[in-house]
Order: sequence, then structure tokens, then C-alpha cells
Amino acid sequence: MRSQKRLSLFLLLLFFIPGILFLLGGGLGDLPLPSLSELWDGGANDAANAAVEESFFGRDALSYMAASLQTMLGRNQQNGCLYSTDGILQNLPDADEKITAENLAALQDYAAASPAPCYFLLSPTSVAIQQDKIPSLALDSLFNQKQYIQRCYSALSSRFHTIDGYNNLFAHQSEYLFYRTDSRLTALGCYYLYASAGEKLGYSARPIDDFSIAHPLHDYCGNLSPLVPYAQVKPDILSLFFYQRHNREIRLIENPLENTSSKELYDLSLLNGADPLQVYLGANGGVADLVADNTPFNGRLLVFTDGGCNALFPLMAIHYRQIRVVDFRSATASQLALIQPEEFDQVLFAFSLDSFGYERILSSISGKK
Amino acid sequence: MPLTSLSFLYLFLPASLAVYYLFPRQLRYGALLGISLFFFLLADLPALLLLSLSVTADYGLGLLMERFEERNRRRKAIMLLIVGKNLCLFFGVFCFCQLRGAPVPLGLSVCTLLGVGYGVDIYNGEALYEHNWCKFLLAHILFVKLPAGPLVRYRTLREQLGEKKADLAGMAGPICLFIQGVSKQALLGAPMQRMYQSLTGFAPAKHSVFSLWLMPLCAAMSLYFTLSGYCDMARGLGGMFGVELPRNFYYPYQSRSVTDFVGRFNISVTSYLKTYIYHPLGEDSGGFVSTALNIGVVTLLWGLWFGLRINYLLWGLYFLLLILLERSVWGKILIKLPTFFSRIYTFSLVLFSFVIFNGKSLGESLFFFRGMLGLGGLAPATSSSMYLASQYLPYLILAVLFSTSLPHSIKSALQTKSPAAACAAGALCYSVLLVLSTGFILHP
Repeated sequence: MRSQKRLSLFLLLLFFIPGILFLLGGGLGDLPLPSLSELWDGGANDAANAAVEESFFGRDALSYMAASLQTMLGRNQQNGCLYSTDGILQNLPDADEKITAENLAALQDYAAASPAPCYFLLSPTSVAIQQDKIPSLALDSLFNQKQYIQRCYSALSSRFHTIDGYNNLFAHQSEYLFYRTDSRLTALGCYYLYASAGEKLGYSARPIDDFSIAHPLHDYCGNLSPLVPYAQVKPDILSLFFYQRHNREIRLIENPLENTSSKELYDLSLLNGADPLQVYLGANGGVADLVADNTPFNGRLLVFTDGGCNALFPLMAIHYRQIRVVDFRSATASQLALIQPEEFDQVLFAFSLDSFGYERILSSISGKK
Repeated sequence: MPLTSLSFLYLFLPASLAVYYLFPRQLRYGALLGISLFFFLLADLPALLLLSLSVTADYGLGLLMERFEERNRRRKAIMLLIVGKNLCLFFGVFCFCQLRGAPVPLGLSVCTLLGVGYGVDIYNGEALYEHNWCKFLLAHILFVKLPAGPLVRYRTLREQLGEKKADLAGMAGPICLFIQGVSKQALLGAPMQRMYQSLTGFAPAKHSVFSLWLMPLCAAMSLYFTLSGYCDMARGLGGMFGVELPRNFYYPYQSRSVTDFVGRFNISVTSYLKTYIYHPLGEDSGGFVSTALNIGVVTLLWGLWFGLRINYLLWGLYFLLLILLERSVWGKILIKLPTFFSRIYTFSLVLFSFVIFNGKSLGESLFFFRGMLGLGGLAPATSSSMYLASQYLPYLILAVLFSTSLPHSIKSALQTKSPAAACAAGALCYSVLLVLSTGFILHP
């Protein structure tokens, strides 16, 4: 009887102690007071539970323990991501065919009206390139990005010059091409895209030794980290490429449609911001210009992009007098209206497959937004 | 409020226990009513209002029935009114929700069917008329059984409300049962459900014979660990508040015949249907046709308990057919078979039944059947299905193991051999299970 009492008391404490710790930690104040409408539609419960989970004593330790155990038992997918200690890879579903067709049609329309030659670079995501990090049984169930890119390229008319980034990236798959915790390309990944694009865009890509590479950030946790919060993945390193030859100086103008003052290519203060990857093209204002001084080149390039490979454009900038980069996600309709395509010699559409196959990206650019 | 949410486990439950035991014993049912009302208010306010009105109507009609003598026709009319009102409410709201794709109100089936039982019981003189509205309401909306039952007769509940002494020494068993229920749901039910959902997400071309066999296995395990987990939670909670609830599952996947399976799976529903339908219809006292019809009605309703869908009806029909065949053709042979073979026979047939249970239509179920038997031209296994299986294999093995009585037998043996060691091991095991379950709830 006595041992039963002790056991009961011990088990009861297991329920009481976390609750008491929650209250002592000021949790009661975090609990939202439900409104009548929340009570009516059942939302009160969710809000209260979210508040308890948020301030639960030992939440991180418990979640970490559960995640480790789940991984040990064989789990390597969460929230649409494949993960291992080598990194988090976003596992894309099959691309939306209707959206793809609309985006391709918008590209064709743009090219038909554009006096400048148009180029299209569709870059694959990490899951297609870093197949060595994926369990062999999972490979068959992956969306075939190579085939999709080829299909998109062949659907475009001869007015478009397509750039093959896939093969060059795949050839260097063992290198640090994609962040471990982010869906975007690293500066090195962008360098290989830069090398691939040279032939079509008409510049001679500089060897990597011509660049000095700085690594100003070593603990970057990217946009995939919150999706797999307790994966034991090392943080990422951010690299900056500086072209060392010919005293060429590249400067950045943020929002050039309203502003003409330029600043240094990489604003290192952005590394402390919410998205350190903004260091490549400045705080995202929708439109940015990269201008080169002391350059023998006179070309002007207009780029429409999705922010997936921003480190690419500072590299390309050494071959142009001006590159105007338009981010379709953040550019406003008024900004788009002010852009004069005829002022540019070339137009490049550089998209990552994870946006091109799933979002109506070009309706905004072609004014159909 | 889900019983496996952290707000319930670590706030609502301890606070409720503290409130309940602070009250003197005579008033504890009042405290329990307040706790149940608060739970219901937080979980589903519209359902609380609807069901409180319905329960109050049943209470009033019960008192009205008491006024008439035993042979008075009005008593029968009132009984039919109680039964009819509750069935109309149950089916009406159920159909309405199904058509609109809305969730069924919390406690709808438990409250309305309890009301039906109450009406029939007081009419037959098998239960006393209830004069205490608070106790009547409490028996209907007792929070522990609202999410998933079990379905209990009114008189069984009424006898226990506030009367039974619950003390500290007697709390260990119910708390262990509650933790066992939470673990069943969080550690095995939820992963099995995720695996099942991944399999149902396969395009037909990605299916293989292997994946089609995995599907009913996952469905069977997911359903068992979710429902029996919730029932264990209800029984454990009931025990903590001095209410003893019956078990709803008794190792159904180790049944020795399909008839045995029906008696072990969702026991409270089977028992309810037997009490209020099978017995009044005359059980198996008539000829074969009459018996078949009686079993048929019960079995079909047993299937429809899960929802108003043609596949659930067919599920019930499938069991009816097998029960009749066992009764009249191979039942005697089954008894003579070694346990292992009779269990394999039953489990295989039950597995097939889940193909019907889970199909969105008869056509889909037929496609799965054909595929399972290798008739659909499908590959024996695809890498997609192998990959999925590799991710969930440990859970599947544990689920199969814990769906048998083996862990219980080990626990009983230890208790007999060394009660002190069993007590210490129990404390360790259940605290580890609770910590693990909390982790899995935080990081599903």
C-alpha cells in the first residue's frame, strides 16, 4: 500500500511539476484570454496550446531528444525536407504544369516584344544536384528536375538563348554549392553558374583564382532550418567573391529608380540582419544596380530573378558596365513600369526551379499582375 | 481540447485534480461537472449548448415518464420520443457535418446514444429515474469520455458519480493507464497514421504489391493505437476521478476468429448494440434467417459507427458474411486449429477488411484487392514503398509487438515474481514513456 502511494505521488508529480514550472515562469500571463468568437469556433484551444508549447519547460531539450530518436529510428524527412547531418534538402513535389505553361508563355511574350536578346537560366535545387546525400531508395521518388529543365528549354522559341547550369553544377556536386540550411546557392554554386553562362552571354568567365574569397560569416542558419528545427546540421559559411584584377571597382546602387548614390559592393552590416544573404545585392528593395568603374566593357544587362542566386550577379558585373537586377517578388508595379528594357543590351531571366515551377512569376513582369 | 495536448496534460489535468480533491466527497460530482463544463466550453462551445439542451430535454422527459403507471401508453410514447429525438439529433447532425465537410461536434455520439439507452432503460425498469439534473448532465458530458468514448450505459455511470472513494494509493493504476494511452497515441498511433497517409498519397503508378499490403497494416495499427490509446486515456482519467470505465479493446489482433475479433474490437459499441438491438430482436433464438438478420443489423451498425459511408457499410457486411460462415461452416474447424494458425487466419481476414474500410469508394477498394493479390500488373515492390517502409520499420515492428498481449504478460509475470521490482520498473517505465510522449507531441 505504501509503495503504491509513493508510486502515485511520483507519477502525479510528473504532471504537476511542468505545470508549476510553467506558471512560475510567468506562463499564465502568456495564456491568451479567449474571446467569444474563439470559443465558438474552437480557436481558443489552439491559442492556449501554442502558448503552453512555446513556454514549456525544457521544450528544446525534449524536442531535440524526440528528433534524435526519430532520426535514429530511420526518419529523414520533415516538412517536405530530406535531412541528414550533411544538410537539409528541400524535396520538391512535381512542378505545377499549368503554372509552368503560363510562365513559359509569359517569357515568350516578353521575348517577342523585346529588342534585346533574351537569355534564360533555370537553376536546379540542391535535391537534384546533391543526390549523393540522398538515400538511394528515395531517389526514384524525387521530381526529375533535369528533365523538367530540358522540357522548359525546348518549349521556348529560338529567340531565347538557354543557359545550362545543371551539368556544371552536377559535375561539381561534391563541392559546397548549396547551403546546408538554406535552399539557395552558395557563392561557389553561383560561380559555377557564372562560368556556365559566359559562353551564351558572350563573356569569358574568369578562373576562380582571379577572385579573393572572404568568409565573413560562419554561423548562418538559413531558411530551411525552421522547417527541420532539431536536425543536427552544422551552420553555414557565407563567402564573398572579390575580383582582384585590373583595379575594377563594382559598386551597388539600391533602388536606382529613385536614388543614384552608390555604395560598396558588399554591405557587411547586412550580415547581422534577418537575412544575411542580402549582403550580395543589398536590402531587398525590388531593384538594384551593379555598376562597374574602370571597365572596358559597355554592355548593360537587365536581369529578372527570384533571389535564388543573388551571389551570381556581382560576378557577372565584372563583364558589364551596368547590371540591373529586378527581384520579381519584391519589385512593385510602379518600379516595373519605370524600367526601360530598350536601355539594355541583353535580358536575362535567372530563376530557380523551386519558384519557376510553382509560382506565377512572370505575370508581374509582363504587367499582368 | 485534445487529451494529448500539452495544455491538457500539464495544466488542465493537474488543475482539475487539485480542484476535484479540494472538494468534500459529497460535492465532488459537482466539481467534476464544473470541470467537464469548462473542458467542453474550451473544446466545443456550440456542441456544449446543443447537447446540454438535448440532455435537459431527456431529463425532463424522464421525469414526465415517471408520472405515468407502468402500463400506460404514454410511457411508451415518451420513451419513443427520447429515442427518436436522440437518434434524429445524432444522424441529423452527423449527416449535416458530413455533407458540409465539418467536424462532428464533440461528444455527439456518446451523449445521444447514452440518452437513447437511458430512455429504454427507464422504460424497461432497468434504470432508476434521475432526479438530479446535475448528475444527469455529468453522466452525459463527463469530459474523460467525450473525445472517443467508451460508450457506457447510463446506470453504470450513475452508480459511480461522486460515490466511489478515490485515494492516493489507488491513483497509480489509473495514472499508468493514462500514460499508456498517451504513449500509444503519440509514439505509435501518430507515426502509423503518418505512414498510412504517405502511402495513400502515392500515385497509382507508384504503388506496388508491397505498398498495398503495407496500407491496411498501417491503417489497422493506426486505428488501433489511436482508438485504444484514447480509450486508455479515458479509463485512466476516469480512475483518477473515481469513475471506472470499461475497456474498449482487448488485443483484437490476436483474436482466434472473426467472431472473436468483433467481440474484442470496440467492445463498448458491440456491447451497446447487443443490449439495445440484438437482445430485443430475439438474439439467436429464431431460425438461421432470423439470427442472420439480427446479427446483420448489429454488424452493419457496428461498421457505420465510424461514419456514414458506403465503405463502412460494406465493412460491416464483410464481417457479417464471415461471422455467418464461421457459425455455420468452418467455426468448429477453427476451434480445433492450433492458436497460431487461427490467429493468422483472423489477422489476414481483418487486414483485408481494412482495404474496404479505407477505400474512398468500392472501385478503389477493388483496385487495392487486385493489387494485393498480384492481379493488377503492379511490381512486387518499388523503391518508393521500400523507402517509406525503411523510414517507419521500427515503428511498425513495435506497433505489431505492442498490439499483442506480450508486454502485458511480461508485466504481470514481473508483478507476481517481485512486486517491489515491478513497482520500481513501472515508475521508471511510465516516467520514460511520459517524457518520450511529451517530446513526440512537441516534435511530431
